[in-house]
Amino acid sequence: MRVLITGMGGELGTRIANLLERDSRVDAVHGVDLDPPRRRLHRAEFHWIDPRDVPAITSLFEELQPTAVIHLGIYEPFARSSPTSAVERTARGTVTLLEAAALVGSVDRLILRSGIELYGRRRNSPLVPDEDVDPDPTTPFGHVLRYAERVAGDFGAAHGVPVTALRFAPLVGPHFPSPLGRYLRLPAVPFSLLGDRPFSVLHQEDAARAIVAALRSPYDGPVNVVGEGAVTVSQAARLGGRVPVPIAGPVWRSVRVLSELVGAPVPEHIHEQLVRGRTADGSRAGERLGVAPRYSTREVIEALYDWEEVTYLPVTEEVEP
Amino acid sequence: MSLPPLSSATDAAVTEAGHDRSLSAVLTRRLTGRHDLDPWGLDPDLRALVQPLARLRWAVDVDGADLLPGGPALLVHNQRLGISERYVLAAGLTRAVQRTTRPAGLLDLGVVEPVLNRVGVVPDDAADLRALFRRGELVSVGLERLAANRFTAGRCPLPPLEAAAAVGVPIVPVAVVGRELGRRWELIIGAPVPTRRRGSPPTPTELAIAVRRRVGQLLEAARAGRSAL
Repeated sequence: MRVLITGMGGELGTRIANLLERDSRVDAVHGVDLDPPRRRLHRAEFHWIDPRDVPAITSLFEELQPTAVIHLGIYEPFARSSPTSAVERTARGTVTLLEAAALVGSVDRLILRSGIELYGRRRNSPLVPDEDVDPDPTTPFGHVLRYAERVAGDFGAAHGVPVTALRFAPLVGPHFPSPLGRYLRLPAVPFSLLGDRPFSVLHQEDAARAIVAALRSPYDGPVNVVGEGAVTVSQAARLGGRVPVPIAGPVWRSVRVLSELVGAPVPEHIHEQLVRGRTADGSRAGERLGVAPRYSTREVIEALYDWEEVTYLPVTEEVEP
Repeated sequence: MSLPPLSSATDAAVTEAGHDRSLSAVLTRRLTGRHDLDPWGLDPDLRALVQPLARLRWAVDVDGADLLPGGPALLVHNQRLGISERYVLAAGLTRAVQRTTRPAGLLDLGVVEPVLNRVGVVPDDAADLRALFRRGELVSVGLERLAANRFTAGRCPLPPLEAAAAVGVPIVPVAVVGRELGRRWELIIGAPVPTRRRGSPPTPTELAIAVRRRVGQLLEAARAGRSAL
């Protein structure tokens, strides 16, 4: 199996590359991204290519002839890029990737990183949707996830390739760039007084395990991957020893401005989650992929607050430039 | 000084968590955020607080509790005004079989919904019910309200039956008999209606007719019993 990973420069992409390097069934691991990988790679090869660069991606496909594609080039707003840039990178990157895959025709399985944000949180929508619920996104990130799934689904249907769309709960983990994680780590955490609703998260390690499992036994369809249990925003703040601050209605606007000023911008989908909650039924992951998340939502949130703070070492020697 | 337990209820949701139910332990969990919460918002500590109030308000006799399946099930009960029946059912089964029942049928009404979610109430849409059944929960839904006659079963809503059939959980008819302002209530549990059978599975409409008839029979039996008394 020759695997191509888009988004290999991110925490998740690098971790998956590390896992696949150890797998004897994988003959070659290649990856592309705008940013270089976060850890040392031993067998995997990284190609510093813009995923939107059509000629470069196409020639890479022709050269590598990948049989499996793991598409992690799904950019969450305010994780590593601005909301506008995140939408543009995700949409164009997905189309470019799948056009190249269609042209070369070597791919026999596609794993897509998606998210439970695509279910949306309209009034009277299910609290815990399963995969049989039609996506009905209510935020820009939800819409771009649905778009990526549709494009991938069309590619799979046209070329007879199973497409596993892994709908992850919001990813939070050590060193994982996440707007939710940054918000919850503020010293004072505003929460909705009128409805402190539960949400679920997923540890990046569980996401990586689900992707590797989907690669080994491809399933054609969506699969929710969600950490067991749920927490509310105020509960998460108390778990981290933060001060929960109850707010309501129009105050949220000021909170979002203030939060952005202190380095924790709140994109639309995170605001929706803070006010309306967000979780999903993850039972299909165990049935279809044979993996269940090891970390519960509460454990993931606790780990969020256990991260080591950055320690600045005293300067002992000055070097002339 | 150790404070007295909040509740002596043997609610499964409470005891299975293995938590200390003393007031100090509950308060510590809440202050540190270490209390349990399920994806629908059920908070076992808050539910344990409500249980003694439910016992003060309602005295519930349960007949046929041995007919309840050990795993997930959809309980379908009659409603007269549709105010107390679902909570009477949940309170009665908590005491009789030590299992948590999730009353379904909750509109997304701002601040009301999260409060009711904390004590176990869930929406009655098919997706939520499927997810609840997969987790092994007992879920109750009411038949159509019939205010004029408390011994008549109303029509059965189809979406909950479709959800039960999709997951393959049995449907249990239950007659809930009592007066809205009274304290004494009676639950009569009937034999489960299977949602899977050899050959073609029953359609939701067939299930609805069968369940309504069973609940009606249980209500008739209750009326006959009262007449005899």
